[in-house]
Amino acid sequence: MSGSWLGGRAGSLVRMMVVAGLLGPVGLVGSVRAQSFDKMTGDQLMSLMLSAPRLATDQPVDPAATFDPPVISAGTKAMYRVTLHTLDEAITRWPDTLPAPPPLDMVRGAQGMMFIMGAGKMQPLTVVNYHVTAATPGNYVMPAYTIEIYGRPVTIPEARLQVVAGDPGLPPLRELLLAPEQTNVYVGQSVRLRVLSPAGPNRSVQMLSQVQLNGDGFITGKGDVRQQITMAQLPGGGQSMAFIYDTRLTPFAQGPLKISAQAFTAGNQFGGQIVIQGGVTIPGGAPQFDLLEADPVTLNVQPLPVAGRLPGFQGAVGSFLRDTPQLSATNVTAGTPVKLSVTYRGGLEIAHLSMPPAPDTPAWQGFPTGNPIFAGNSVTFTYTLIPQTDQTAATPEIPFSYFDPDIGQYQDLSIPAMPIKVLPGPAMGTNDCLPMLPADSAPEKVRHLSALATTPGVAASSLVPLQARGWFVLVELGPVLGLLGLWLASRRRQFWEQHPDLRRRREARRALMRERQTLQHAALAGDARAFVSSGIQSLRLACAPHFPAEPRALVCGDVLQVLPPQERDGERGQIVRRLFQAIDALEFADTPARFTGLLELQPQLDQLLTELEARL
Amino acid sequence: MLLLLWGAHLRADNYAAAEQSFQAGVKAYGSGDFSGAARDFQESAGKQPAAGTYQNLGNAEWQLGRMGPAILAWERALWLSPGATEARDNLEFARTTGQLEAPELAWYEVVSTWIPSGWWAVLTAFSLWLVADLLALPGIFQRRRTGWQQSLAALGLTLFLLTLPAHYGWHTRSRIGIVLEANTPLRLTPTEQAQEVTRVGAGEPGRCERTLGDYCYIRFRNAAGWLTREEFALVAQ
Repeated sequence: MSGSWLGGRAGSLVRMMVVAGLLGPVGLVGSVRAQSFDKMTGDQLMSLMLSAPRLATDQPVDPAATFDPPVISAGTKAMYRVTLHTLDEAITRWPDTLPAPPPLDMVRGAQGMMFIMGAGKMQPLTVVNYHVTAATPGNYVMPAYTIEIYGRPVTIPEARLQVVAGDPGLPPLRELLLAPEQTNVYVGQSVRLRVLSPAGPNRSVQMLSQVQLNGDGFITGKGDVRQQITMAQLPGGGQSMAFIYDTRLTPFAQGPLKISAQAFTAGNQFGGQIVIQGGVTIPGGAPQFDLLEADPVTLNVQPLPVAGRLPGFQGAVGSFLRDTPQLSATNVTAGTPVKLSVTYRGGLEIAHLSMPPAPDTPAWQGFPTGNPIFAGNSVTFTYTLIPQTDQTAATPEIPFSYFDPDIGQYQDLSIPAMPIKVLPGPAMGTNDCLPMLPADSAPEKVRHLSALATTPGVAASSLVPLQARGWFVLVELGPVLGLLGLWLASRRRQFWEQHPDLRRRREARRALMRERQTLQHAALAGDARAFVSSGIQSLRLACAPHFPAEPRALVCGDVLQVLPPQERDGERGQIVRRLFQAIDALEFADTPARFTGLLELQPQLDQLLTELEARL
Repeated sequence: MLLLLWGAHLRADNYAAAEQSFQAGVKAYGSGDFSGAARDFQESAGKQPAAGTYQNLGNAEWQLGRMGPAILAWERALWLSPGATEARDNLEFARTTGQLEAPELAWYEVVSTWIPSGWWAVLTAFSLWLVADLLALPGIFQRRRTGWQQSLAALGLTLFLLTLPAHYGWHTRSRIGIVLEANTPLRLTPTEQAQEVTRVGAGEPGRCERTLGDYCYIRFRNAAGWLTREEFALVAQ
């Protein structure tokens, strides 16, 4: 937040009102106060606008650029000042860096605008400052350059600065001086700040207008402004006649607070009340409106201490006193209002004092009466208090405390309890106004802290609800999977029941696969008997589902029937017959069976079994 | 199985450590060392959250003059065990003393306080799967649904539907929290330098409506604004 009362939107609004001629006819807007136009009709507003001076919008911009002073000694400061007869909002382009000759060091300074009266019209005047220093003597020319106003190019003329090695013989640069009352302050503490414009040669003093404080973290009040011309102690030492602009600011942010100031010289044009003491020369003639600046000062703003804060503290910072409170009556009946007035005294900060909250207790109802009455450096608060019962002998205490920055402590300045006699009201007996408990109601439970639990009691792994934990959701998937498994198993069982042939073939394929492994092992081991036995079993397993029949019941002829007709007497048929003959001889013949050469049938048998398996 | 055994072993270790801290807290409280007691009970609750532990933690915090943490602990005791009368009485005592209000509960939130949250979860899961099994298993096993099965399924479905509002109540109640410190600034925006809406006292209940970084948007009875997680603690956290 800016401390400048004409900065930001508010400033724009005031400027717009001035432009519209709604604010005073004088050329200095610094003394103009805002007015309320809420109840004005459109005609009244129009009349007011038409009766006010018009804004000169058709005047030439008339750009000018000067160095103030035009001659300086090396290492000292001059001000490069550009003056334009236009609104500051009209400047649509301004170069970031000016084409200054290299030895000149230029830093952007303040910018301000004011209105001056001329030919019955309000003429805007905008001034832009640059701080200029030069280390080496010489004659420097600030060349002309172009800016844009309302989008049209405007050429700023060249300006000349002479830097000399010795004393230039001219008055130094005119500057404002800032003198805060103190630099170590607390948040909320009201501080006096003095802006001084020392007298020039021949004790010549010019008025200042549109004094503006720049910075963040503080507020100022226009009502606290005092202007005077008198002998003043200058911040840098020494005394001089000076124009003094006193104001008060209140920091609301802690930390270092940087404050600068700017103002226009106004010659002999007075803005507001001013007190002049001592002999000074006030220049006559048309005033020269120059924008002056002050170097910034820094306030160290400390936060209010938390420790020691007292009840009733509402942010009051300063030094206050309290008069004895006054009661309008000391003998009242219950329910009858009585007024309590109390006056606080202090410095200028008394204007910012807030009324302590009215008491509200079971015995007393209170509320503020009217607005606080400010008189000089005092303020009077008035409360209306209504006793709710005759069982009270004093008004309630109203807590109030403030922080005294001088001693760095909170101070209690509460409104004490005032003795008063309260009689029973005409329509009530003693305590009749209080609600009565029914006779049979239970007495109020005695409240106290319970004893410690001796055991931890009901425990959980976490305070997070069970249903919000991830594992619980996973556990809930268990029944889902179980039901799904049961359903799939049921489907499968039903399928096999409806397709028994498929089931036989499937079982035959599995048994054949196992038997062929046995066959393979027997062939590799050279066990001809096991080879024959396993081969026949494999053939039976591969052929049984075609009948269907129990595999062990099949004989050679059954197996041959499964073979294609052309192969029954061919090589495949011979293999089958040889195997069955061998096993028959083993089981039924008297002579020992001969298995020679049967192992050599393994590749053909394997191929036959593969073909039979494919038909399953 | 090994994982389960390992988890059970860890759980048993935690329980033993929590019990040890609990007993140490009781002893410290009895000797007047409320700070030590609060530390022990906090440690025990960290290892094994339990209603009695939180009740004792609330007592210790109250003795230290820390109203916010005390109310939070008692609320947590009630969260774990809605029937904990001592914690309920302590809360009433604290709120009467501190002129604080209890959280306003909707009807379904009141229902949710009847039994512990875990029980609601088990009840809901049991009733849901009872209904699902009774409806699905006869079909799977190619049996006819008998009358008692259908009656039991209807009963289970009713039970399941009745538990749903309680679950919603638990969900909304899990956003309730307590302000921990006195005069806590309630911020207009979730930033450190935000403008203060008002200040709230220790123990004030509020509901966290949304979070943004370390900030929660808390709605109190008469105000709403942003608090940090250090200033406002959820009961179910």
